Order: sequence, then C-alpha cells, then structure tokens
Amino acid sequence: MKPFAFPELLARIRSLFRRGHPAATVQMHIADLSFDSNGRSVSRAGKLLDLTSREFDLLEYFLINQGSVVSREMLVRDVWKETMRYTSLDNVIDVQVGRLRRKIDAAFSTKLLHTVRGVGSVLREESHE
Amino acid sequence: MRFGPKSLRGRLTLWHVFAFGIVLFVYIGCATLLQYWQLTRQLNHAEIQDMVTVEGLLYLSPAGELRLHQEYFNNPQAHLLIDRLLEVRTPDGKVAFSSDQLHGRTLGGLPFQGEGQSGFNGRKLRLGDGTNVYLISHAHQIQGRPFLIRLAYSTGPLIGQVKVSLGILLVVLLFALVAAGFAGHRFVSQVLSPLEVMARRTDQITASRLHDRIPVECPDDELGHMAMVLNGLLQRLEESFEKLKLFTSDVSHELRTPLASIRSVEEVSLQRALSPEQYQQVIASMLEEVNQLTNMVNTMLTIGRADAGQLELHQTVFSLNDLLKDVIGVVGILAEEKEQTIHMAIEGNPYVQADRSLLRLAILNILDNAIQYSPSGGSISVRLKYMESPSHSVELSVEDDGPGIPEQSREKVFDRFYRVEKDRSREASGAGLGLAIAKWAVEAHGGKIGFRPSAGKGSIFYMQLPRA
Repeated sequence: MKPFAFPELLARIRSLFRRGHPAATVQMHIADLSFDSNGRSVSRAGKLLDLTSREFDLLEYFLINQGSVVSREMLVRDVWKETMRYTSLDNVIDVQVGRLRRKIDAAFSTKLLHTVRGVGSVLREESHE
Repeated sequence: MRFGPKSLRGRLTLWHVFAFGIVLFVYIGCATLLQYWQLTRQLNHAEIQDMVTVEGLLYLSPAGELRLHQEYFNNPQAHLLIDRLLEVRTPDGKVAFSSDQLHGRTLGGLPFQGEGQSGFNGRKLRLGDGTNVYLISHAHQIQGRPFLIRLAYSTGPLIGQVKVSLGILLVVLLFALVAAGFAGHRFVSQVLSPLEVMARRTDQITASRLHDRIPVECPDDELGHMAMVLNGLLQRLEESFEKLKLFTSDVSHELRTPLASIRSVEEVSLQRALSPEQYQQVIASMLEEVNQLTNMVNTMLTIGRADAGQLELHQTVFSLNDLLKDVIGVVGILAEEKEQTIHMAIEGNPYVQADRSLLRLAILNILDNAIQYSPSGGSISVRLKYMESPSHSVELSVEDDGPGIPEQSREKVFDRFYRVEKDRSREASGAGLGLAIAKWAVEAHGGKIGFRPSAGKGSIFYMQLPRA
C-alpha cells in the first residue's frame, strides 16, 4: 500500500460528498436563472441558453457553491478532474469561465458570475453589496 | 591474493624475467636433446663404417681361431675409437673373439633371435661394470663360416660433450635472466611513464578546473585510448556541471521575477493608506503571482522526482485515440478562442502501454505549445500513424503554422527553461518546462520525441511510442 496524505483523503471524501449532491438536485435557481440537471437545460429570464456540456458542468458547480468563491484549484479537481495543475490548464479554465460568463451574463443587466481577482470566481446576486 | 612487489613496474619486471626464463629454459632443453640425438647418429654412423672395416680385417687362422689383421686408426672419428669394443660370437653363442679393450667383459650375453640380421640398428646397453655403450650387431660370414659381430662405443665422451655445452648454456641463461630483468624494468618504466603523467594531471583537475584535459601523446595506443576515454568522461562531467549551473541560474531567475513583482506591489501599497477594496486588489494581484510560483515549483518538483527516478509509472493499456480526444477536449477551447482549426488525421486505433496521466501531460504540453505559437486563425494538424521503422510503433505528430524554430535552437527546445524567444513578458509562455517534461515522459516509455520543420515555416513536434 502506498502511504497517503490524510488531508488528501479528507479532500477526496469532501469532494465525493459534493459530487453526491447534484444527482439528487433536480433544479436550482439563482435570480432569474434556472437550472435543470435532469433535462440538462438552462434558462435565464425564460430564455433558453445554449451551453456546452463542460459549461453545463461548470455552471452546476458554481450553483452548488453559490455565494462562495470557487478557486481554480477546486475547478481543476472537481470539474476537470485532473490530478495535477499546470499552467495551460489554468488558461483553459480562465477561457471556459469567461465563455460561461458571456453566455449567462452578457445579454442581461444583472451580472451573476463575478471574478475575484487572484482567487477565482463567484456566482451570486449583487443584491447584497 | 597478490604476490611479489607492490608496484606494477616490479610485478611486470618479475613476470618478464619469469617468462623469459621459461622460454630460454625450454630452448636450452630442446637444443641439448637435439645435440644428443645428433651425436648419437654420428656415433652410429661411425660404428657402421667401422663395422664394415672390421669385417674386412677379420680372418680365421689355420688353427681355426678368429684374428683381427691389425688395429685400425685412420677413422675420422678417431677420438671416439679409443673406447671401441669388439666381440665376435659363433651362432651358438660362444665368444670367438674379444678385443683387448673389453678386458674380459662381454657385450650383452647370448645373441637373441634375429640379432644382426636386419641392418645396423644401434641400441643402448649397460655393461656389467656400469659402462654405457652404444651397440650394433651384424651377422657376417668369414671364410664360409657364420659369425655374429658386435661393435660398441662407450657413450661416455658423448655424454660429457653434451654436459659441457649444457653447462655453458645454463651459465648464459643466468646472465640472460639478469639482463632481462634490467631491460624489462627499463622497458616497463618507459611504458608506464605516461600513466604517471596522466595520474598527476588527473589529480590536479578539480570541480572548478573541469575544462582541463589530460594530454594525449599517441591517440592510437592503449594509453592514448585511455586518456581519451578519461577526457570524454571529463567532457561529460563538465557538460552536466554546466547544465546544473544553468538550471540553478534559470530557476533563480524564474523565481525572482514573480517575487520581485510581489515585492514591488507590497512596497507601493504600503506607501500610503488604502481603502479595503484597494487592499483587496493588492492581495489579489499578489495571489496571482503566488499561483504562478506554486505552479512552477510543482512542475520543478515533478521534474526533480523524475530525475531522481522516484516517479513511478502506473502503466495501463489504452487507446491513443481516446487519449488524444481527451486532450483536445481540454485544450481545444484555447484553439477555439484564437479561432484556430485543429485538423485530425488518424490512422487505425493504436493502443499503447503507458502511464496515461504522464503521456497525457506530454501531449497536452505539445498541443498547448502549438496553440500558443500558431497565429490567430491559424491551423494545427494532429496526425497519428503507424510507423514502418521502428516497426510496431506509432507516431503522433503535431504541426503548427507558427513562426517555426530557428536552426540554432532546435537542439535546445527540449531543454529546461529554454525558450526560443527570450521574451519573458509573455504571460502565456509558462516557465519553459513543458517540452522538457514531455521529453522525459516519452523517453520514460521507451519512446522518442523530436522536432522537424514543416513544409511551411511552422514546426512539427513528434513522439514515437512502441505499441502495446
């Protein structure tokens, strides 16, 4: 048996719990955006948005972590499911998050996906400061 | 176990003398035997001549006694005749004549069956008083009556002669051995002297003087060869020392840039009081630099572990096509962002046995490079094909239409921290470790990684892997 790091084990268990949730969650909402994980459809203000499957996964992850900042580290591990972090993957994530932002926010005055510089992004309604 | 003197010179000299002595000894032995054999033949020859003469001189007296006409001295081997012994017997074995020199001794008792019938073959005989003789017998008729004539010479003088020359040869041998010792010592010293020079020079070479080389006098002989081998070793040592130095300075440089920017951000922000938002900005920008640093240190640790052989390969068999699709699924978006098209030309469905995540990283790095260096709207071709040589292998190549790689950089692109453009301001270009990792990963699987210019001005990076 390989020795393992205890924090890593905890992190893995935590991520399993996180992953366990969405299967049960059928629908999630934030502001006027609604998300249906079974029908794999996303709409905002009644308008259906056309998302790729990666963007869908990404949005789902942001929705689950609503209001808290999602770091690149988390995305590498939980959405891309990579074992190692490297520079090009960071670029990929930035581009992917940027696209998602354009799709869900560009045509609307209320922005939902916000960049937290240096840390990552957060999905929240700007109602509370 | 080692016997004899400690120095190579002493041992070689001793061996030289020993070998020389053996050879000379064998030679002397052979020469002595040859001399003995030749003298015996001469003796036999003389006896045969003498026998014929003696037969002419024997006659029967009127009383029926056997007599010898006269002594016979004009034989060329006269000195050997001094001990000439003659005996004549009747067929029934009675002694009919015995020469004076026999002094009553007999020459070998009763005749045996067939004695003297065939030729003059000689034989050795030891007489009753211990005298060694060489004897020939011949059946001969004298005035119609049959007799057996025996003629013998003592071998004493012959042995004496052999002994004298053997003695002389042995004395010569002794002198020859002493001479061989001196000559061998001198010779070995001369041969070994370049070795001493080499040892002295090698002793003077230290880490800071690795550029020194051992002098090569004759490049073709063994010592010259050894000197060249040592020089080759020094060359390689020097190169790896240089690489290490370069690596250290590169690492320091790469780490210094983000550190310097963190420092300057801190210094600027501490000059005056800022609002919480501004502080947040400052911390965020520092965090970005720290991220960069963390990624770089992680990559270097991976390389370090790979170098130390601590990175285990978790090998599985998988389809290279699937891996390729997976990789393009990840980095394809970067190409889309630059409106580049990725063309795929895939032949068959090759499987490889490899560490999937490691190989994935290698392909990722190569594709990422191609995307980075191709212009916006450019195209990238990914090809996967079976190879003819080496057989049972597959080649994956990635062609971009970027600026290409200048001739002088082609060998170095796989080196750590090497970047074709020395423009470190490009954020996207990473730390210059991607290709180094790819090279390591491919070579760890017994593959080959390389570069060739494309038909246009772009580059083709290829990796060749054995199929599963």
